Amino acid sequence: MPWLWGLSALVLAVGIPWALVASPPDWQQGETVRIMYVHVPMAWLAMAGYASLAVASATALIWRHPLADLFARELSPVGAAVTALCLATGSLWGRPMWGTWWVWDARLTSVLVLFFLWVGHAALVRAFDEDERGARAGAILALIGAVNLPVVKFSVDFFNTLHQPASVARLGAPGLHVDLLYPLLACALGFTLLFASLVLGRTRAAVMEKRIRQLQLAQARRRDSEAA
Amino acid sequence: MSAHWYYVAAAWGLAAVLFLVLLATTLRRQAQARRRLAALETRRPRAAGQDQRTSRAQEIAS
Repeated sequence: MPWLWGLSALVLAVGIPWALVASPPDWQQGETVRIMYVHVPMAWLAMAGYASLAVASATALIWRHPLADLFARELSPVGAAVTALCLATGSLWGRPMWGTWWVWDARLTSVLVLFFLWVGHAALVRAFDEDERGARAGAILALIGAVNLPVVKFSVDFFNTLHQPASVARLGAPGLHVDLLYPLLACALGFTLLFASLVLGRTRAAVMEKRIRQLQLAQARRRDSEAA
Repeated sequence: MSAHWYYVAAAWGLAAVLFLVLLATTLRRQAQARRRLAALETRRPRAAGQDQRTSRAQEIAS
């Protein structure tokens, strides 16, 4: 879908310069606030992506839709990558702001668990000789791991965490000034479109590869029957 | 350049590297699959008649 690639490039071409250059520094954090424009979208994608994984896994288990299995299989490496980026950029933000690269508070620990779930799913679906068995095992892991999503979301509300509470996705008005909020939303939209393009592109390649295997199998059977 | 810009540059640099790698691998995989599928699909029309004869033979045999 070239239009999706084009749209994500366009939105990022607007959002990234806005975030890095045009938006003002924070009165307290200074220029370090610009890490927010990549860290927060990655966090949102990590969670929304996992929710998509859970929905695809439920679809695969209940309705046995083959595309749901392929989609889930191609989603998990990209989801793991954005979650790792969320953790890395969070550390790069935490070092100058909190004075530490890492703390074992509820938010950081639950996102680390989310990362392990992503990696675990990607490994599990590829660990079996038969794709269907791997897909089913991965789907069950994904659904069980979905329990972690509300833990991540409400960790900053229910626990005493170093990580700040939600500023945007919360009841009531966002706690960010519009000068920071609008570039954040632009970057979030651009990265979301890019994420979707990558996952759909990988799924399309997987569908073609499946078709290639079927054609190769049909050719091999034809050769065997001719030889016989 | 203040110290904070190093952290900002590292964060955005990581993001750029990651997404460029993902983009390159996705596009390469798609291109390879498209080429292989096109090569297999062009061979199919000649073999399609044989497919039908083979499957018909199997039906009769069963």
